[in-house]
Amino acid sequence: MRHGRRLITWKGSLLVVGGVVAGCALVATVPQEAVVETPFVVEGAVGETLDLTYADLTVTEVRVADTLESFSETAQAGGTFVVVDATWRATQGATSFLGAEIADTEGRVFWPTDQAGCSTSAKAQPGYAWHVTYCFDVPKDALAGATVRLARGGQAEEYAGQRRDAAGVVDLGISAADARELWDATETVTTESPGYATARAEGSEE
Amino acid sequence: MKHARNGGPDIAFRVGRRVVSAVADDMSTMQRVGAGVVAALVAVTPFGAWSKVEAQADPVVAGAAIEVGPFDLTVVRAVKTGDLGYLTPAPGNHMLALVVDVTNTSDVPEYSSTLGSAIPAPKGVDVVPQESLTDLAADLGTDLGTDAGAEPGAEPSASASPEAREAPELPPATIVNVADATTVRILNPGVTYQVALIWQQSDEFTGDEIPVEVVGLDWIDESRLTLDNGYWLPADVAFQGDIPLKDNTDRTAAPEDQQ
Repeated sequence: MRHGRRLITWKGSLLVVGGVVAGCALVATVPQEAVVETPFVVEGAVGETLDLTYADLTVTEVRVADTLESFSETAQAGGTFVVVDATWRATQGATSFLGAEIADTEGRVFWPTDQAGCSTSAKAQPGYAWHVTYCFDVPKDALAGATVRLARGGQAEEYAGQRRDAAGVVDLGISAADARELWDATETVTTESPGYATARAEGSEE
Repeated sequence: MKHARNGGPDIAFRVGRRVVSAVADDMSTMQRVGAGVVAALVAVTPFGAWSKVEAQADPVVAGAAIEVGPFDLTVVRAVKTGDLGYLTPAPGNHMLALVVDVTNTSDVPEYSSTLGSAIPAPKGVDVVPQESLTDLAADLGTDLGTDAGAEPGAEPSASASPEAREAPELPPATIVNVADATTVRILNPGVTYQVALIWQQSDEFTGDEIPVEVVGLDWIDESRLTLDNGYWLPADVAFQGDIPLKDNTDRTAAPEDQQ
């Protein structure tokens, strides 16, 4: 059995100092906030079903319209309406889907309108597909290269509701040439109320 | 040989020096500095040292673009009319609409309420005030019979202060898209809307112009009081001017017809 005062050795000191330096280097170099707070973005295209863990998301159709019509209201676009039809299939439990925004190539973002029967959010029970129509009023120069981001968490306050959670980002597939054609066209879209998706509207699952 | 001293200013100086000496002799240096500062402040008071500095507001002119917070605004016209879209005035009132072209020049959407906070109801032109909570409480008290025992001719409710009666709170505008008479809630970036900011105005107002004020909007990264992140806070009046008021009360139509 060993008695008496323990000696401070060079090896022990080096071990302690090395541990401290390694810890500081780890904290300084690894972007911890970005790692734990950034949403898990799942990218896809129109017609493709994205697995967001809490739901399957399919953007089934993208249209552009100057006018939206519902049974109670007609809405005129300030720019043009990008009408995004999507289905949500909740996989874990009853889920509210609050996040919906379009982003353009310049980094600007656009929120949906609730005019003319369009939805800004959705809520679905698990086990079946729920159809939703989102309508975004955007300027001409936002069409080409635009993407839609849909998630259960809201986008307010710098995507606070989507931290550490999955979000689907779907390329709307609008080229520069498409954008010019779509802008010039004068279309009217009659919106559908949210509800159970038909087989056609469920997208690539069918 | 002693010379006769001049009177007048010299006497005043000597008296002043004696007073200062009597007061300051027993003071420490810090106390003297403090007393000097107080004396200086008292001295500048008659010259308006405490008057509030009033910022000079730029003019609002119909057809001229102005920049407020995230918005480019152009006041187009002011109109008074009867029914306006789905809005119907109460008997004795008509609708007052200020038509504005607005573009959100930022990169993110803004709520139309932010625009509403930048353009408050015109003052002094009989805009129907918002029914205050005090009035509601008074009405409720009356309905419940709590004033039943009051003296005839007495004030309806002691809670309705004279100040509240003198300066009733004016309501925020109802904001409607002129193109389709629907309510606008979101103003997306880069999209120009022509909107009507609508209030009810008493028929007693017969003027032919209204004073329009546009309040500046300050960006708040994080509020020290509420810790809310990133919002526009109404500040001082940045633009003001009188806008001619077109009388369309003999017509009843949707906002797009109020040209």
